[in-house]
Amino acid sequence: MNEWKKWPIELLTKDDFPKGLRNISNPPARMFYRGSWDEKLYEKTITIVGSRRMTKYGADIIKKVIPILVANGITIISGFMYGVDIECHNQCLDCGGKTLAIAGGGLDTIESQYNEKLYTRILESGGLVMSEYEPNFKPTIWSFPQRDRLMSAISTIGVLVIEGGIKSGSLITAKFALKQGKRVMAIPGPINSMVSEGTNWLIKTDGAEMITEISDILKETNSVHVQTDLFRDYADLSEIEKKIIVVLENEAVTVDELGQKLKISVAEIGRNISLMMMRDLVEENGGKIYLS
Amino acid sequence: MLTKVSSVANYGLKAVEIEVEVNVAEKGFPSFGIVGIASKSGEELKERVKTAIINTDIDFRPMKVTVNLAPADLPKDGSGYDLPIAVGILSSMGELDMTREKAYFYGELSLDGTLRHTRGVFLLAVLAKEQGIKNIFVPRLCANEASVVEGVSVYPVDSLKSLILHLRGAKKIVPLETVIVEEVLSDIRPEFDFGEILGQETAKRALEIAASGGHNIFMMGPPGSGKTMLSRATAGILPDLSERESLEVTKIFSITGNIPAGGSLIRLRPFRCPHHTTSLVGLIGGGSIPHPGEVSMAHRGVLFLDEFPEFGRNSLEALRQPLEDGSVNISRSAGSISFPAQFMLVAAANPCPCGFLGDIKKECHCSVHQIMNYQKKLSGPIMDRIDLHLNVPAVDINKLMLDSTDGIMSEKSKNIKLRVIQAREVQRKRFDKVIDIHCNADMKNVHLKEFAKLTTDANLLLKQAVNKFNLSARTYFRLIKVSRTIADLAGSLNIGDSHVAEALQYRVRNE
Repeated sequence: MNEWKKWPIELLTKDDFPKGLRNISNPPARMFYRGSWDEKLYEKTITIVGSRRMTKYGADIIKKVIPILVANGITIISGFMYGVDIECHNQCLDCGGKTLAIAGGGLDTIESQYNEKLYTRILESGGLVMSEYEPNFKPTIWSFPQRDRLMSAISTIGVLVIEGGIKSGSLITAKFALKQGKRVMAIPGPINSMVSEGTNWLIKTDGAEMITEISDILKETNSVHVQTDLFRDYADLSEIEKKIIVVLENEAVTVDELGQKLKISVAEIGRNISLMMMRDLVEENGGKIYLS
Repeated sequence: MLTKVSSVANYGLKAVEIEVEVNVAEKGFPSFGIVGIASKSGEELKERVKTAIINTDIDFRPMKVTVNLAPADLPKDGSGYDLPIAVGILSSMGELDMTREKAYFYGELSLDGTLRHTRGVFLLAVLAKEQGIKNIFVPRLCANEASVVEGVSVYPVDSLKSLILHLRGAKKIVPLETVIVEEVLSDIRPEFDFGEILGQETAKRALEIAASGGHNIFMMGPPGSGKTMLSRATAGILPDLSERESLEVTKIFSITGNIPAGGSLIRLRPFRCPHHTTSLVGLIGGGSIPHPGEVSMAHRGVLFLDEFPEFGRNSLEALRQPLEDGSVNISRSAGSISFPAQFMLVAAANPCPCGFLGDIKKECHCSVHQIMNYQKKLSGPIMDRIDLHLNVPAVDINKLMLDSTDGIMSEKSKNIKLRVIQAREVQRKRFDKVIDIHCNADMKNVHLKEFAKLTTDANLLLKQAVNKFNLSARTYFRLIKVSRTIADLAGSLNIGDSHVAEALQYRVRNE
């Protein structure tokens, strides 16, 4: 499991810091990193932060956003924490992108076992895991917010917040970004979701740009591939499938609710949902059916 | 003078005839000695018998009383020996004449001489029939248990006094009339009706399938989503207990003292929901004198394990044998005992320790480690024996209200039960010649080829599903079994793609 230990820990002095880190008010004295050093990594970067308690909504957004960012040659920076962070790293690696993790603790202290796989994956893909703390430093309650200033500083495009509570580390990163004069972007979320309170608040108070499509993020960069939303061809559907799609376009519901709305037995709905899942039309999470 | 009275001791699920020998000697140092029973029970028993006799206005003079419960090597517990001992003493004292036809006496005495509800009376009656004993004297409160056994006259005894009068011929006790089992078994109403549960149609459908095919089922959902209610109602959609089954259940209920006062045959399928702190012995059975556990009390019924991952690891492991064999074997130095334990397992769990993971309104307060540890417990050999897995999401009260005004009522248990019975009948015919297989869930992989034929379309769909959802071989076979049951419910000979499609809804989510 700990193949990542094969990579040696390298020391980075102030002069070798990437540009973003040199110009902040309280830069770290030195940095540690594992992985292969490449200046190109820092040329075009975006920091994505978000809640540890990521919901299905957050995961969906990440799935949509990251591939396009990667296609534009942008390095994804995140915090190596479970939830949105890990999802971003993984999604980026899945698309063959480069990613950089800035840990809240030392490079030898690993949060949990499933970070380990990711750790190795990042290193194998030519990415970096870095930290300002001594390798065996255990992350503490203050080290995360302290680390957050680096997260915002290192990005060239800005900070994107995908789901974050009102008192979350994501907002701390956003505040650092504002102080440092960086762009702050946020994805709006459902107003009854705890983990969207922070992002919605940022947008409401003009702390962040509201991102509703991917081109919003890329408008100031010279991007090449801006894909508009995938156009779905629903022509080849049965009557009942069409009805199901119409309901799901508005909101994700359970099989029970579908049955109630369409006045069809749950057994019948269940059969159709299974078949639709096989064709990647819908997906299921925590008992609810979503359009995929 | 020496008197011998016959009574019965329970060991496991068997009643054994014992002989109560009582000697009352006018000579010798006055004492009350008892042998053949563990000393503690003996001490308590002595006080009850002595006081009950005194309070029945019998002059119990200081004498040397010796009681022997034979055979001495048979472990005896329970309190049913009070009555035979009291009768023996009275007879030895010359108060009664016991030179009559052999009969069984059984029951616990209260200090005022009345008889209490005593467990194990049903088994006593069954033994009496086997041994050709015509008369049995048991407490009135549990005499109904015995009254279903044909060919045995059951004398319901209120108190020691009334028994004395009966045996002296002064005032006869009228024996109970034999109750016909079939009559008792008709007209059963379930404790909970599915019709009373609004919403949760998917869960109801899944439980219908589970009940039809004898599958075990696992439900995951937040607190308050109705998991307990649903499983309670499940006992009501299972086919009625047959006569044989009813007798089996009554035996277990009788031995554990679970038949209420005045109750007779158990007609409802049992529903047991042991708390997750229940000890291993409490769950599986055991003890120095082996006693049935919850799995046996749920025999022929539903065993509901709420907060499934909170059960001790040992307890869950120990469930494997009953799930596999339908019985529990308990070995003691005195011998080994087998308790039946054929039940339908309904397991339920929250998605995380606090229960609100993924809930949009309430925040989950668990750490990732807690969640991982919790869900880790939801894998392993026990989960392999569960065929249907489903999510039971919380139901929005407002939506429920809306529905009931719409006039849509949930289907009644009675109707669901009819379909279940039909599907079971199909299975009974199918497995007529196969030993040890009664329902689809019992099928082993080798049987699937013969009994669960898939149409070409169904086969194709299943193969696609294996790739798409990354299903293991085990899940694959489980899916076929569940599809078989769904096809049976639909009255279809072969398994079609629509049956497989529905079964896919109940697959294991996180393997």
